[in-house]
Amino acid sequence: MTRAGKTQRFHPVFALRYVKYGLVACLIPMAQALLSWDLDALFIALWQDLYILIAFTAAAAVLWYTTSFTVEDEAVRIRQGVFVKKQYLFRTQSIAVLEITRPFFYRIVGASRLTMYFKQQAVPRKFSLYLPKKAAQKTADMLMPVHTDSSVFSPMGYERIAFIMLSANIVTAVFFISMTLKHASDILGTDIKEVAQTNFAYIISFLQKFLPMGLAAVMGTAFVLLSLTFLYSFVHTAGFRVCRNGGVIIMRGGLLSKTERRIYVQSISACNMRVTPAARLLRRVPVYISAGSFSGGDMPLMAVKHGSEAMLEALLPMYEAPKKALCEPKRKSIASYLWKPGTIFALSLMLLGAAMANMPSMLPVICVPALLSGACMAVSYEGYLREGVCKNENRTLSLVYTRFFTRHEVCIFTPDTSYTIREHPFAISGGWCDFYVSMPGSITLRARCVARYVADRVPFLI
Amino acid sequence: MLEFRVSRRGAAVIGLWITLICGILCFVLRYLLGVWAIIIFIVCGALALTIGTAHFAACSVRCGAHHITVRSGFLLCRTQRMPLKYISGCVILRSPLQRLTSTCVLILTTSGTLSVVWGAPLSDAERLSAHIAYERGAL
Repeated sequence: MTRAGKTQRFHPVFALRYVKYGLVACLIPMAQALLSWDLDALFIALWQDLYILIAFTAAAAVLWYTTSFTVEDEAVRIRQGVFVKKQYLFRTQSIAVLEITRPFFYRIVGASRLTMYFKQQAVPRKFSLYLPKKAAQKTADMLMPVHTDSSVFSPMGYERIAFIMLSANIVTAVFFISMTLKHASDILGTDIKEVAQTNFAYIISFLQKFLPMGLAAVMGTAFVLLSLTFLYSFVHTAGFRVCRNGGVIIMRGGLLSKTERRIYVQSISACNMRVTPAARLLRRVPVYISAGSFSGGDMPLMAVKHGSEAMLEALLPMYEAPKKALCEPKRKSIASYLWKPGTIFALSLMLLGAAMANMPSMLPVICVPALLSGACMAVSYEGYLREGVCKNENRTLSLVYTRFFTRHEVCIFTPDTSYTIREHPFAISGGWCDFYVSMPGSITLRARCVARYVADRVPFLI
Repeated sequence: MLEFRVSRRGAAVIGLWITLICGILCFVLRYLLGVWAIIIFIVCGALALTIGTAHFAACSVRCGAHHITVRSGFLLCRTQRMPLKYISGCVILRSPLQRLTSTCVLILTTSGTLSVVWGAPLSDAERLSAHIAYERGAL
């Protein structure tokens, strides 16, 4: 029998999410006023905006007032809704990962976001609670208790620099930095984008002293993007450390925006070692883990040096590297690996040829896509030699595949997998197929050109 | 062991569905496409009722002691293997036309994927559903 705890309300920051929608709705009257280009229409639009904001704020306040949660002995109960009442009941056993995030704005108002990721696909696959800082910590301790923790991985010195470079993600960083710039422009009232463009023009003019004009623009853009990415990664991974406490792995880090993740070891579906170009240069591989509907996030669990996998085994005792080659390249079709990067490479070479004849000044710029597609082709060729699947001695599954510039080495722990084989007439005549492994959280991995008899015999990890 | 194939009637019903959807789309876009709407409808309908029906009819389901295997397609083949223990749901859908032909759409779900058997015979789908339930100790 479960014992009901005290019913609590969310932090008021929960209501702000709905006020944001009101701000978006305010744009409609303003757009109408702009179209009519009239002072009277502008005043009417401003009044309408005021009413919209009041209505959305009132609705957000009512939603906040009617949303509550209770932590019971074995479950979390959440009640929501005004006219249609909804009640969620999540068993604590179904939680795979708990994530406590405190973005900079949340820290100012003393709030935390506690996100629960579940073991098996359910609706919803994750759920966020907006709580005061202490309440979030207390709730996390009740849902996934952690007593003491000893650090297993806390990068320092060169390891820290390597970890920053390995966890850098250009897409995430550019997205977050552009959002930050937008918010800063709104708050400060100055156009930061214009300042950034002026400084970018200085960088380009400086690079033009050493490089041709087109190449200077490309190198300048790459320099700015990489600098921003490393800056974001530096701030995001400050004070990063990984600990293990009994059956829970704890990851903490962040300077402005603090993140803490608690992951049940028994719910980890797979660990993915991503051999990126940076990882090849630094001879360290970032390890990402997925557990239930949690698919790895934006931070790796750790960076493992080649030949020192013992640290990883201390955190994940089930991990086992494949002891034999996963495929026989002779039985594969090289065309299925090289046709995409090969086509781009051939087009780049054709462009290069045309530039040599007609526009020699553009030659350095056109070399860039040729080099990138050449590198992509080399990684695809590596996939031709190494991509495959096999079962390990400790009842786990190893799968290697390549995407763009990265080789993924995955060790699958969960027995909750299903396999799909796809074939076309060429594959049937060659005796191979594309092999897909589906895991909880709708995560699907693909190994190309797996021998058909091997794909048929891949056992389940039951 | 339980094994069955999708019946010709079941596959034809699905082919008819595709033809109907194509017809609705062509009707909606008739002003944009002009006379091409009729041509597209005839071509798509013919393909759906011939190749589409043959594609859906080439589906078979085999339920062994530990896992279910679903094979589908005759040109682009697809084989799915799902452990019986981790099948989280089995849904049987029936439209009025499928009630007349004693067929259904069978959907098997696991936590990571789902498998759809278009036009499965109703009696076989119900047997499989019961088998999964007994195997998992639900009944």
